[in-house]
Amino acid sequence: LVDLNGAIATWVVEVLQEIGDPLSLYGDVSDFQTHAAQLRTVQAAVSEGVASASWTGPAADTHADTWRQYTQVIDQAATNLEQAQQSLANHADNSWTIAREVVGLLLEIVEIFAAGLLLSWLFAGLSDVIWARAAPLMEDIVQLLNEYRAMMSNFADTMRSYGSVAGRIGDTVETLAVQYAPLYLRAYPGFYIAQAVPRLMSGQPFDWGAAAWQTAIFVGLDGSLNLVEDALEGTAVGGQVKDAIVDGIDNVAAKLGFGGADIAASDGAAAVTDEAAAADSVVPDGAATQPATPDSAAAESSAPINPTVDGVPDIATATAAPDAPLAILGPARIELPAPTLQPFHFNVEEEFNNVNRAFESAGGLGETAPTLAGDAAEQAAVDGRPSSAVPTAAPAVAEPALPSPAGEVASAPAVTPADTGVPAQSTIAAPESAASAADTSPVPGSAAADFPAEVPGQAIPPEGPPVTTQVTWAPFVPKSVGGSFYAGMVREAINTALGNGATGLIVAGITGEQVDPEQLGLSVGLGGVMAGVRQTLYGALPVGESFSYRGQPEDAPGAQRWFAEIPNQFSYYAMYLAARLGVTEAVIRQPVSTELSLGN
Amino acid sequence: VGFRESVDAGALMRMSDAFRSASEETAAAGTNFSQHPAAGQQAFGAGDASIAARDAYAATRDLMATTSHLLASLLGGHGRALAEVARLYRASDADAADVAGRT
Repeated sequence: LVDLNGAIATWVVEVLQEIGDPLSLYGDVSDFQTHAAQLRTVQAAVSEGVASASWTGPAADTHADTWRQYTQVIDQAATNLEQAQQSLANHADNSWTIAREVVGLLLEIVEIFAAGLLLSWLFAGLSDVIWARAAPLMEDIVQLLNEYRAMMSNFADTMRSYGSVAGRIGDTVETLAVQYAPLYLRAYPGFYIAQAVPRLMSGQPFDWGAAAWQTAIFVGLDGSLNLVEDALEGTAVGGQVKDAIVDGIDNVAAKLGFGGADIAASDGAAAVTDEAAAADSVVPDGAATQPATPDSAAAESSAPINPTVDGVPDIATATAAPDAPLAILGPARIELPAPTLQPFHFNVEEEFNNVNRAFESAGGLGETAPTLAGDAAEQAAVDGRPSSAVPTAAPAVAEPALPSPAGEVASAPAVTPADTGVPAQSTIAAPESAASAADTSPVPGSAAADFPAEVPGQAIPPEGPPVTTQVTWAPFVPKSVGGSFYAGMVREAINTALGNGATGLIVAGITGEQVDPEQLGLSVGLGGVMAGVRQTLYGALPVGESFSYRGQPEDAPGAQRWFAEIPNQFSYYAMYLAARLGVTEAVIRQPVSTELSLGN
Repeated sequence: VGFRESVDAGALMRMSDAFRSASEETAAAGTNFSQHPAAGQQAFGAGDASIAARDAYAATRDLMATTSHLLASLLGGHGRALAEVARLYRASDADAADVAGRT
């Protein structure tokens, strides 16, 4: 009897330990709700301030567009928090109900053994009867434990789905930060100053005031062009055109020995160097209304890329030339809802619809059984992992060992997982659809009828390295020659040409000055070509973008990388503007003699 | 200069302040969310599935807090950008006034 009591006590403790205390989850529910409410309060307050400020003009349009995207991101974050809060509350409810059921059964078992203990003084051999009564109750507990594990797995999937959404929101925030913050912060002060350099060097006056508002016009135009180009590149045709250009140039460069075929690096670089890309943002050319450049690398963000692991190009799928240097694979530091660094266009409606569809197919939020993906490949896409990385089987789950009656091991009606009819070992296999889980019949006569039915092959969360959630930056990978060409001679050239032309006409319309066709033509054609060359060289030369990023740690914050690029960008701007001024004056045959002129 | 956007630099500065304030509030909210002790093993239990669920839950909380801090950074940067724009407009106005005065 002592041994039996000890075995029963051990088993009860193991059961209770596995169940845990779901009540303590309720304390966390309010955290999510409070945080979501705080974000919405902030959004409302700023929206009110933005709406009350009367501001019109190109810069105001850019500002309004930026704020519109901010509000969308904040709304996404708040909605994500609210849905996570709802799932957590439902999970706590269901867990607590199971826990109560288990505790009730345990008490009943204890009562049976307590009664048996007393009666055994009177009737020998009563232990068989006791076990016969206790065994079905233990079986129910084992089944409840299996359901609890299934629920835990589903909860883990649910949390991963929210984490995945949060990761995407984080990506969007980062994308906005690197695309728009530089647009304001560097475009204005950086180019604003750089454009004065060639004029001051050549002894020409520079109108700082005019340069300010003309810069604003160009920034607005350039931002609009970038958005349009991003959208075009997001189409199948646009993506193919871009790929054809990049791949074609890379192949030519490889044949010429310029190492242009480190495609794996180039494509991945388009993603991981987005912050550098944003650094290419533009600005106009001050008084001469000959603005500068577009955000080229950011443009590459929407292009199809090789399969990657956490934003690192998959070397196995790269089509590098035999002699091309291999892409350096960085350590995968983000294991769980891996917030990749690839800028992407977050479609909040689609993302949340995916989650909601999974919820609905599982029977609603109360079932806590959403999985974003219906198959391994889709799940891999959600997690940013290759499908091959999706675990297809989970390790065996050990049942709390059932006690055996003392001294009657052989004859005891031992309850085994097989007896319960419930697979003791869960496997993920191909992620079970939530619908199939819902179709499974609940365990009759148990509280399980109120819960998600047992799922044969129930998903057990994949095991792997410890989860880290720090959002870090992937290693900088330089662009290929083709990528640099596309960023420069395609996007930069187009943006600068169109931006210069439109800015020139707008400025002429505002100031009432006559448009000089020759000057305008030079501004459009020459400005576009030279800006394209500048941007191409910036991406391709060792002393360009790569030089800016030398020595930058992989986990450097975006701001650090951005600031590291300023001096290099500034020098490229200044050299480009000085060269363009010289070429322009040579073409129009009105050179300005300065102290720098040879022979003077 | 002959042209100015329709803008009040003072209004821009107030908007900038609103963004900065929003940034601080968002950062504080994110910090509070991340610092509040999340439910641990006691709540989820000690089984393998429970541990995985707990890990996923903790990771999600961390990621959400990180998102809030990124939002705060974004709002703060935008506020600083607005202040810079306001400063440039003021400088532009001063230049215009100076030119007009000399003319």
